[in-house]
Amino acid sequence: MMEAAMKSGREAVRKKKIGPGPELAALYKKELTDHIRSKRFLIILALIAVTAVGSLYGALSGMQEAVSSSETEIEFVFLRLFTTSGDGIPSFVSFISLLGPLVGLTLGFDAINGERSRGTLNLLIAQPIHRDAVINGKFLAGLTVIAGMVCALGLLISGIGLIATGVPPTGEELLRLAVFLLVTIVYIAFWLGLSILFSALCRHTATSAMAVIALWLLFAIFLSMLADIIANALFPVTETSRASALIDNYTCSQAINHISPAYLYSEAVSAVMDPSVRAMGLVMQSQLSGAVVGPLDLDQSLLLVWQNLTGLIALTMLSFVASYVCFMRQEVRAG
Amino acid sequence: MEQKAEKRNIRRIAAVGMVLVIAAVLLLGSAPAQAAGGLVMSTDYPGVTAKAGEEVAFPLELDSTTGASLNTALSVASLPEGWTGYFEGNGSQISRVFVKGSDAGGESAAATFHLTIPEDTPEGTYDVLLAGDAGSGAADTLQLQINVSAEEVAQGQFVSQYSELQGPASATFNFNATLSNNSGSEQSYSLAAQAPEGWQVTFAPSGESSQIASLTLGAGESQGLDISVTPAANVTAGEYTIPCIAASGGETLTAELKVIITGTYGLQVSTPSGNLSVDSYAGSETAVTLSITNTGSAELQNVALSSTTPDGWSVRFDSASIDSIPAGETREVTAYITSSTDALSGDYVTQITATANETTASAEFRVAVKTQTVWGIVGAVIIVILAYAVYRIFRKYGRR
Repeated sequence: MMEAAMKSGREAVRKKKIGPGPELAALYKKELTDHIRSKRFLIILALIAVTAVGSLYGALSGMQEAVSSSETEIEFVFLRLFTTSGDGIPSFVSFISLLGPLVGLTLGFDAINGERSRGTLNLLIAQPIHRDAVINGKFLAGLTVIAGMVCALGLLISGIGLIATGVPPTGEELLRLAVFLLVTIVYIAFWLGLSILFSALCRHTATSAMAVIALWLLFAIFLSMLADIIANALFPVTETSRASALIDNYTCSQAINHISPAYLYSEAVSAVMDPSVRAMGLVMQSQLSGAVVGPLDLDQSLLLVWQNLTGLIALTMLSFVASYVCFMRQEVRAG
Repeated sequence: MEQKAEKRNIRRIAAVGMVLVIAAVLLLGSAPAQAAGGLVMSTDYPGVTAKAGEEVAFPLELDSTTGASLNTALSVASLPEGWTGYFEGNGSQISRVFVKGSDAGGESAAATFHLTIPEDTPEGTYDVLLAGDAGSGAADTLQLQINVSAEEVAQGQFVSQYSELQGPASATFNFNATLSNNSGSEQSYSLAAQAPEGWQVTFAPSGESSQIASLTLGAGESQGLDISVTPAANVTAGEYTIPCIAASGGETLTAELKVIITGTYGLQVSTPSGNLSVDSYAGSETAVTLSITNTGSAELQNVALSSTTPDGWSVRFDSASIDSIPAGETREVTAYITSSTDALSGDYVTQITATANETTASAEFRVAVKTQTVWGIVGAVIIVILAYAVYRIFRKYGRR
């Protein structure tokens, strides 16, 4: 049966030069099963779920504080579930921007070299299937797991938050949540692509794991510190320096920060999840004169961070294409 | 000697004649009230003017000058042809009146003589002679003179304490008027006012809240009236005369009330749709049609337009001032709001003010600055180009 299916699949593929055939579907299914059955996946899922619930607890207590301390009504309660921090617990959004990459890394760091070291890659290539189906299947399966996980977490927080606050979301809030989940999937997919690239580049899984973890720590944590150091070195700021020096310093550190996909993601999410955000980066006093507080429409919020969104999507495509090219050009030998 | 005696006789006769003439003059001088024999009959106004068909009443007073009480018979000695008259006392027709002497109290006795003038009486002066006779020489006559005139005689009076009041258009003007019936008979007055359209005039007796449309006053009575005047809602500044009329069967009394409405000044700045929010792109010019309304009651002249904007913004008007806006009218002006090139997305407030010498008004416009959709399209195009590049790479390296 299997053989027959594969045969017909190959024939179909021959007629149409490129196209997802049954071989891709079979590989996709196999990879998906492998991911879901692995202990590694269960551990990372548990970790993310615990942090999500923890951040929700922090958000609820933080909102309660805000309600009791100020008379004004809190707007966009539903979105606040995801963006409010409290009791020293960071918000869900900042947790995801920090730990989301870890999900992508876990799913992809040994995608190629793991199989290679186990010797299963040779067996796979020996099968009558196309090589690109192998890497496409791996990436698509990882992407599916990421999407499922992110949506499940979003729904989990929405559900518990709804029970806790009793405030139903508006259509606008639901749309913003959907955009947020989509951007998060793209962001984590970038790290998946990057980790697959390293697994194709490095011979040993430990090396590729170390390499992507190093990149993750650099982008998520250290780059912002580095940016400040470099900016201060290039444009020193003292108490007596002029406003233009301050602006130069800030612009420089912003430029360096924007290399980091984690920074791009946080900025994009802050605009998507908070309608009151009206500008990114430096805002002059003159720009604030006559401004009144009011939420932006979703399309305006998206236009505000269009560069970030475009950048994230482009980076994700590039990371996957790089791993694709790398894998396709490699010689697969026994051993 | 005889001649001397004759001269003496002539002197005597002359002396007697002189005495007689003096006596006659004295007698004639006191003719209207002959105080012959201790009875005096009098009335305050023996001569009156009346119209044909009217009834005239003369209050009579009878006194005893001797101190003795007199039971006096009253009678009409002479009356023009066709006229009728009777004596009345204490509500009934009388023929005798008892005049108390000083020993019985000495007060004067009162009676009223009612005289009815026939409808067809020609104009002229008529005499009526009344007589009172108590017997034993105590008798008196009283001559009354009635001037019958076709002319209307203003017997009533309708006046206001203040005939001019001043106030704004929104005020209610209260006049205190008095309506007097000075005629000898009861009169029913109907009250009305000739006010401009939309005005309201109501009459109420002083101190009462009930509004009345007519009023009955007895002879000689008067009544205070509160006249309340409410101007029409769209009244313009100026002077208004409101004749108030109290009309009875016999006469029409008019009180002219004058109300001076002082001008009120009001301006309103809005848009024809009332919508005060505008969309704009950063750095671009947005046209807004303003409607400037004069909400006051006086014309406004030289209404200047100005604006208060955020930093780096500007507003220009197609005409920076309006020559005049008549009361209640609206003028439309187009304002061009230019936002700053580095305005943030979201809402800004721009205030537009209209100023006349007398008053000022302003409106706050909420300008929603938007990002050009072009940038979103640029992002999409970049993604599409990348996707095409990825497709080319797949074509090149795929299916090995």
